[in-house]
Amino acid sequence: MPAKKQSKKASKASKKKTSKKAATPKVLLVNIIPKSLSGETHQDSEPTIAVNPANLQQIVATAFTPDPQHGEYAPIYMSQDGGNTWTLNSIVPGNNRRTGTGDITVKFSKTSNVLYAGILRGDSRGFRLNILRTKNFMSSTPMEILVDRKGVDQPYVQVATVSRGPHKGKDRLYVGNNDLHVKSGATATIDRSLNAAVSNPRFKKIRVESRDTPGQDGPPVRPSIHPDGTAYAIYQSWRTYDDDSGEGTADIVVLRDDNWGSGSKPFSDLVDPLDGKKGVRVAQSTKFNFHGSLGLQRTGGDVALVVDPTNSDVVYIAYNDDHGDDYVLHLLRSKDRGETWSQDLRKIRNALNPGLAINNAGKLGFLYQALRGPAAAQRWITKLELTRNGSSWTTLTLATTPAEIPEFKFDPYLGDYAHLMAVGKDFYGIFSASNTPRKKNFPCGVVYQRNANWTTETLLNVNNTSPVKVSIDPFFVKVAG
Amino acid sequence: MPARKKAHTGKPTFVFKGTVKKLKSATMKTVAVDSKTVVVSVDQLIEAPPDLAAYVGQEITVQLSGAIKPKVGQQLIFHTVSGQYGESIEVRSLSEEPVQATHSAMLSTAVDPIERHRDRERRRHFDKADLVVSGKVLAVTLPPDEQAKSASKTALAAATTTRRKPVSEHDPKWRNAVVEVDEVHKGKHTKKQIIVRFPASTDVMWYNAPKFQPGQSGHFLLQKSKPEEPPKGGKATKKITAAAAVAPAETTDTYVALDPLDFQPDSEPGGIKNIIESENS
Repeated sequence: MPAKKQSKKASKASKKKTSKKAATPKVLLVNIIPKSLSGETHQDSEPTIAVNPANLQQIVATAFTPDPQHGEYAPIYMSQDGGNTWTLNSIVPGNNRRTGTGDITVKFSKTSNVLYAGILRGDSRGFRLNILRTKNFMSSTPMEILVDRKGVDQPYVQVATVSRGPHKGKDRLYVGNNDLHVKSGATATIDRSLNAAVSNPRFKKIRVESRDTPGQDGPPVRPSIHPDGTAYAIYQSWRTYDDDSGEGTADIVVLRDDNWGSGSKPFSDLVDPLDGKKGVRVAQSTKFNFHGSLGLQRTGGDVALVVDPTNSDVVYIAYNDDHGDDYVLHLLRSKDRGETWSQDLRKIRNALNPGLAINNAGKLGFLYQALRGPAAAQRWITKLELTRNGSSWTTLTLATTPAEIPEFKFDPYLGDYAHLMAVGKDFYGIFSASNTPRKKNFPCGVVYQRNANWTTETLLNVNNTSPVKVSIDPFFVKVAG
Repeated sequence: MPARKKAHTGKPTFVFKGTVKKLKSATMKTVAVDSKTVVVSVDQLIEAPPDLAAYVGQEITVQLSGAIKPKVGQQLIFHTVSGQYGESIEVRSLSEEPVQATHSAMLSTAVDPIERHRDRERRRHFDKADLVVSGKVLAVTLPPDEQAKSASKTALAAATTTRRKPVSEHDPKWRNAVVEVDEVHKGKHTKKQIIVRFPASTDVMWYNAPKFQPGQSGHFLLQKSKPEEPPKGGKATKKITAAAAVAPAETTDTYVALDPLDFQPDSEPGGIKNIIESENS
């Protein structure tokens, strides 16, 4: 797969407004492959993360990681010490012995320690969605299945727990997905439960598309929920698509519901001023190529959205589109509940996998992975940018790794997404990258659990002697806010 | 739907001979310790997946089945499934048995434990297969429904309609391998050729399926064709179905190959050949 050409002109906006501040935040970066699996060489791509708000020592992560014994359950990664050390626990139904699950995302209830997951099962070829739950992710009991249906893509889980009023304590569960079963072509969907913690929770499939599509929307549908009940979502609303070339156009649409998405017309509180339909089109007719690639990573449409936990009027979004040969990542903000939007706060060439989070002081974290360097020596640069105001930025380079080492095993090479979230003042993220143990590759420092010789820059097997091939691993990051 | 819980079941996936070192103890902090938790030194691997191939001589945690109460120093054969993997590993034993003379074949070092693990997986594939044949790939073609998709695209473009069949990044990109059958080893098949449908996609859901090329020969472990494709869109479906109706129908029996174990090239010794031999003996 050829890498895209890189133009020399960088975004002026990016250069001017980005600065390294003197006070660099404290960073913890951990390769989460456990020591006991030092011999593994899987392509552990497409990672996600969930921090337990009720116990910040408990963190769960996922990736395309198979059960080491090829059993019937796929593993989650779990940490019980705030992300310093990690363990695999195989409790997710539908393990594929080479990749674990298909797409997977996870999220905790705010108060009850319950972990939810949305997955495509690895043992099915029918795009089989499972929405899952466990009250004890550390036990060996498999997660229980709440929803089981076929024909769904990219389930993306978000949870909010009602903090006051008659519904106090109820887990509101939202699973954004692209439901290819939908006959009308309005495939952007949110599966929603208003009380997901009860024995047999009821789910409603909310079809959020209100415009004509060429038979479907794009894969990512991303909700973000504020504790006051304001529910936002972003999706890629396809306008055109050509099967032969993979090229198409899409509107980037933001939806809002002011009461948990619970009414008869959920996610209808934002109306586009031009066409009068549900959802504001923040960007129209953006170009994408579903067959495109950036280095060895496929492209086709990235979107992310986060609502400020301190003020539900404030929302940030990120999305990608094609500009000539470049795959451009945009970051925008609304201060009026999604009614109007800023120009690009950041515009980054050849970058993808945006992760957005806002901490309890209103500080934004913006995680992404950018392809940089001349064609023969390209590198994936994983960055976290922080800002309080959208104009002054602190930039952390978390990883800079060779773009074509290791060799490609499958799509997606790094993942169709990475993740960032905030709990309290701190940011927690995860991304996948090449795992060569070379200090220069991790400018903020890194901790490996798996065996490695940092002098010879070699991975080592469980005997701490035999060399192991380089592969793609998930990296956890915690940054003090 | 009512929520469903399911207990871990299944068959052992990591079998080894080990010596009990400590009772009510573990090699990992994250593991819950009770009367069934023991530390065991792995003396010999009998059946192991590749990720656990280097565990001879290591101490690990075993959660016993409860069938026997071992003593420190006792040597047992453990039949286990996954527990946790951290600083060390924890496995859950489905059964344990004292080492006996009858285990000599199982404990033979002539058999690679990884190969034995793979053989067990291959055996399961053989048992599940509707048809096992040896033969040669004559050609690789687009299946009729993929051809119909192309035809429908043209029709759709001409009609300037906006409805079409949904695509996904997980699109399998189906292809048909036309296989000339030399011999049928399991199942019933009388025709000289079969169609083996396989995904050409490199997506995570499909990348490890066999990617057939003309000229390849070997053994094929096949399921009757019922590929779980993503559903078709409504209005688009009608048009595509109409297009499919004029596409040439497949006149040969169609099977699918989705797993790397569904094909073994002639050049590879053992494996499915041994299973067939044992079936015939």
